[in-house]
Amino acid sequence: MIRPGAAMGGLLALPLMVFGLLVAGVVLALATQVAPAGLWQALRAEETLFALRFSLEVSAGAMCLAIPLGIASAYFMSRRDFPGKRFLDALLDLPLVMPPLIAGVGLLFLLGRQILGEPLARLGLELVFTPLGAVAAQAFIATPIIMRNAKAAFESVDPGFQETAMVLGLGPWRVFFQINLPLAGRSIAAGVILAWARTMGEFGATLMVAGATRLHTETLPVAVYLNLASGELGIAVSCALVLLAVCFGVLVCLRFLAAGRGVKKRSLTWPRSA
Amino acid sequence: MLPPHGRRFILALLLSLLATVWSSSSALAGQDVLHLYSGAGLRQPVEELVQLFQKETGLQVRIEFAGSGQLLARYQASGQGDVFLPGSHFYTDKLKEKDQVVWSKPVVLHVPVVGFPKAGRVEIHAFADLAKPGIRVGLGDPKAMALGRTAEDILAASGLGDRIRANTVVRGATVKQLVLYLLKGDVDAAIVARADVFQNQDKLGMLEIDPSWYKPEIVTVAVLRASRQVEKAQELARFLSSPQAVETFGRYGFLPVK
Repeated sequence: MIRPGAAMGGLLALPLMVFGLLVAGVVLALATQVAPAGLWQALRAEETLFALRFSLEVSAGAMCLAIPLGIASAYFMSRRDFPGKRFLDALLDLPLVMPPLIAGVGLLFLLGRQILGEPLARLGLELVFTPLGAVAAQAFIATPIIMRNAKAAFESVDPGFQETAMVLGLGPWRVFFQINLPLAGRSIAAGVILAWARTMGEFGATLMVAGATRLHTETLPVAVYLNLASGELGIAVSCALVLLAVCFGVLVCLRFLAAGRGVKKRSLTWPRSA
Repeated sequence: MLPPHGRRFILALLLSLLATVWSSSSALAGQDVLHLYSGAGLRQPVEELVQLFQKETGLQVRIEFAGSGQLLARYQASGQGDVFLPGSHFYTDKLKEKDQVVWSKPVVLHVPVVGFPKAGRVEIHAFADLAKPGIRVGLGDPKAMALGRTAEDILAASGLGDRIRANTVVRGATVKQLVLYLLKGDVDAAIVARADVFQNQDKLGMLEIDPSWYKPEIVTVAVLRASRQVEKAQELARFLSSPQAVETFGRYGFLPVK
């Protein structure tokens, strides 16, 4: 490992420290709002436990939809040219810039009675005001994040590998599963983690499509909002802390899992002036 | 690496962003601006009244619209603000308990009605229709929304509580959310504010609810203890509860306090 010059190291460490302290400060400021006894009580409350379980289930469901959708679209977009591609590419980014509330209102209009609600109901699929609706709303938010990361990852895979594999007689499916997917895997996984974290904190879209029915469509962020709105700051903060703790735990675990696979990190060196 | 013109573009973008942030923050930091916390459901009349107040007095008012409970939490967390105008006296009472109110006055009634889409799937003629099988009812969350709490009282007094609760397909976090569900026909009926239905008369119909079934919420204005310009704040609060203001609220479907 190459040691950086002290000046550069210090200069780069400063922003890191500022931001790190800011994040830690926010979490601590939240944590000090509730007494440990109150926190413990809120943690064991039926509402908190339901919201935690529901949040995990809904985000898992959303990932089941968003991962195949996102990766398949990304692979197509990274390997094919077609008229209007740039236009479509920009269009698919729109959910990223939409305020989630607006995404939720749009989904509500689309899935509601006036447009798709009746035909979907005839197929036995009730989305508005149901847990499934929450899954759909979160998948809508998560898919473009996964797609964006996966597309960049597929594009960065050296096409030489693919060409060699095809010359050696691998079919297109095996090229995808055995060459491109593993080579792009790390970046795709990073996108999936980001998207998952985003769904755990998602509020606006879920609220509009699934409603805020306690113990029915109540995710942790919805629980936070409902309790904040009723002035129950203690319960709201406790729910927020549960959300943060669970997500932090999962994010840390995922990083250790990724690091444990023995991938040598070549990036752990400072750029050297020749 | 970006080409030079790309870098220049990004630099210009960053600089203009900074300039915007700086100018807006310096405008917000102005001392003389009165901060009004207003319930989101009161938006139209409050905006109209505040414009008039600013023209008449030359004072500047910054309005923050949100759910009343959320505004209460905002005030308690920040300890800042001058005037509080929630959709229910419930919230000003909470502040009074903590001695955070300098002056207060009831403004208008926030009356619940049964709202339904005029071109709905089913017809609603009486309150008991909400209990019919297959009707999709929307109600407010009883803790988060003033009208959600009122709706619980109404359900209990009607004697149809269990059957209506069984028909309840969704709970809203704000009254406007329920109104949206009504406008889109996603629910057949919802207990919402009279003013909300009144403002959407072309699309929504309403059924009055027996007044003995609930205590009406009273929109109440309060001057906050934290205000550093109590006199000006009081001027605004008096204006918002004046006969002229009550008349303006009336045009948006709010009833006067009897």
